Amino acid sequence: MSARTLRRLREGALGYLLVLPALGAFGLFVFYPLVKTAYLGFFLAPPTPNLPSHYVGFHQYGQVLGSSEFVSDLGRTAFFVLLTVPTGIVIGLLLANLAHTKVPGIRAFRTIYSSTVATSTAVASVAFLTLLNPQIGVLSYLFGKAGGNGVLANPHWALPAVAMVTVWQNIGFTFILMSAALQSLPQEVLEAAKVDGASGSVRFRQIVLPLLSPILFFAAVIGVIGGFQSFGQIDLLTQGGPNHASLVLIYDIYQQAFQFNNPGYAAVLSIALFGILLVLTFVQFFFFQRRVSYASD
Amino acid sequence: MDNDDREPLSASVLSALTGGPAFTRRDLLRSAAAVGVGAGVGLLLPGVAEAKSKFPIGAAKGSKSKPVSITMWHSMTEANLQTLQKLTAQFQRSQKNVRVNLVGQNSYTDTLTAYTTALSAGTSKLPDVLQWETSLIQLLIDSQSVVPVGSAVAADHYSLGDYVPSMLNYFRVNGTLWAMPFNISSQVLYYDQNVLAKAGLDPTKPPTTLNALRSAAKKIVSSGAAKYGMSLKGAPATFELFMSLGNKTVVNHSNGRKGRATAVTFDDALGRSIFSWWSGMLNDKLAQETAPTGTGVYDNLLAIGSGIAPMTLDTSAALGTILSVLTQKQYANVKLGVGPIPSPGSKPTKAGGVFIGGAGLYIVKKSAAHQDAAWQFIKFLTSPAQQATWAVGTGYVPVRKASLSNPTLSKAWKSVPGYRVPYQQLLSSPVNPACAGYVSGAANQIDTAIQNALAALSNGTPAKQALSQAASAANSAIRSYNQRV
Repeated sequence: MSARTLRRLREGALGYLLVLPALGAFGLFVFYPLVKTAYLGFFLAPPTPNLPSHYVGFHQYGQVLGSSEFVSDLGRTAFFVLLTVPTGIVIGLLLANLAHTKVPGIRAFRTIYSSTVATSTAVASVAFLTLLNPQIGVLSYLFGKAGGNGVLANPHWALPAVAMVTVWQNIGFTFILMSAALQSLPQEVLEAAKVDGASGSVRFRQIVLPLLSPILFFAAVIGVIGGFQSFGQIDLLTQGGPNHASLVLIYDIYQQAFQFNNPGYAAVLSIALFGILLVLTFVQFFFFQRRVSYASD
Repeated sequence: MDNDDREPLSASVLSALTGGPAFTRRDLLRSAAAVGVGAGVGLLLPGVAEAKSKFPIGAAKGSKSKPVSITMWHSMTEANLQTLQKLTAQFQRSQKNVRVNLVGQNSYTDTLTAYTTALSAGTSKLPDVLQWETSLIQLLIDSQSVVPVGSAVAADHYSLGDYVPSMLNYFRVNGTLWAMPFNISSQVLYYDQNVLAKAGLDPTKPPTTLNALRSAAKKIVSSGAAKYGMSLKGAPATFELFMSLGNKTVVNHSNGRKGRATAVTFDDALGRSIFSWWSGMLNDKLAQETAPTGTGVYDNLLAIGSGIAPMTLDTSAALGTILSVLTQKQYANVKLGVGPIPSPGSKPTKAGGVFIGGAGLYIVKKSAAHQDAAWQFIKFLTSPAQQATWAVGTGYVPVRKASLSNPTLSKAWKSVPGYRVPYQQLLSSPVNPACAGYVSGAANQIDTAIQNALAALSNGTPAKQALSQAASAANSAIRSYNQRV
């Protein structure tokens, strides 16, 4: 063994040693649960956990993923993501543009716009629960939905109402992302365009947007993943109801695992959610990356 | 009661036949049982009847380490808790062999969660006596963690003759008595006599059928006595009670009592007529809909107080609370009346009746001394004198007929005759599968499906469609549950 190979080996070993803690943590808290979840999906869970499970192989996967309930879950989840992600990004971008001017006191607005990032889902949900209350809620009054059982008990409005809370809560995060991106834009390009006589809207569409595309892309990926995993607001506002109107995939997983004592079923749904997010992320990377400009980086 | 020590065989056979492809020891046993039945061997197979008939009577007394300390999990709060504590103290004074430790679990839902968690942690974490919501009976049977009370009754030669038959009927599945009725309630019609009188109705004769209820509501609205005739709270039990009052089952195999239920039966002519009645009441603005869960659960009762809707159906367990709220000045013009829950149609169905709400007491599978101690305590809690104390202290319906001759109880009932109504309707309910109420391991999901369907009615979904949607959701929940057993 030459001295060079030896040195390489030693360096390699050191490298592995250094990533070992991270690998250990990932293994224990990410990879092991992932494998275990996939494994649980092969078993029909008994009604109570003191009884033995039945091994059924892929039978449960086929049954759960082929069921109409799963398809409806997916539809509602997709609708929820469509309601939350594009609106969240557009509002965040608009606010960031508004706040991207040099006027006195703009910092106060920046703080206000980004403040929702410091609000926990629970706090936001409870606040909106009051605002949407059919008897005393201000929003119910403004929407003309006062009285009756309220928007959250209405099968047509429950999911959009939850989506609204989610958008509101996400504004802070997208605002910070967009503001940071706007501030790091190369000023010379914008100034050159200005000199060339490009109007504000032309500059925004032709220069700012393309330059922002990496961050828009990032916000979309994070938003979709976050949208698929939104749980707290649904649990606090509607519990998946009324009549399954806000039963998204993640909430179904929760109900199956912890309310119906059916971990096998929940495991299959979890693996499906994992697969969907994996595919979506790949799709986003392959199709949209080509349109994303990293020129400024 | 020689029926009570028999293993619920037909349920096991059924699930072995419809069960999944995998085989466990349990399945093999069941298949053997199925083959046995197929070969005409009969129901009493050696080894399957097990130790059920040998309940360890006297084990607590004979225990080396006395007193035997047992734990009871309950979901009682406020006045109910105080009465339970009082009875428990009485029990401890009455004998020296058994000590009882009461552990509160806040609600039936919390009890379900805690018990399920404890099941995976092992027997030592389980209570000895379990107060368990009526509708979850099949899940508890399927957990194989409780001893049927019937086996203790048989071994103790204990007489059940004084218990209200319809209450025992609820806890019998496949001929086995699984629990003792303890805190029992039933749904009744609450109404404001003054508003009924104002509308020209006889306040002493509340409507007894759904058709009469509808015409009463019409009179109340058209006479301007109130905005609505009544509040309809979309509780699944209300619909299920209408079914039993019409002598119809909710699920197949005799409401799941002669074999594991495999499908619902409520999507029939009676179910559809109840749903059309319900949707008609809402569409014609004769009734307002109120929430069955969440912060609005008392809206139907408050509507009687505020005069918006002077009638509603709700559990008899609420009577005490209603009466104490009505003593407030703002409700001075309300004169509460209590009537039996109305039957569907235009006249009461023969052989129709009501089933119970509330909870039963179960003996958890533990050591012999603990099982016996649990039985002694359950026997005490359901004795006539204790049930009289219990009924007066809590407003629940006494489970013993002899409790009625108790002076405290008769005095209390004389001053509030409304307490007699739920007792009478349970006492007069016949013992048959429809009136027993349904059992299924998927009861929670079946109830949710019905609740969703009732809620859908208020959003304009046609009755027939709402009902068939409920049936298909419930059926898929039953299928999913059954293949896991």
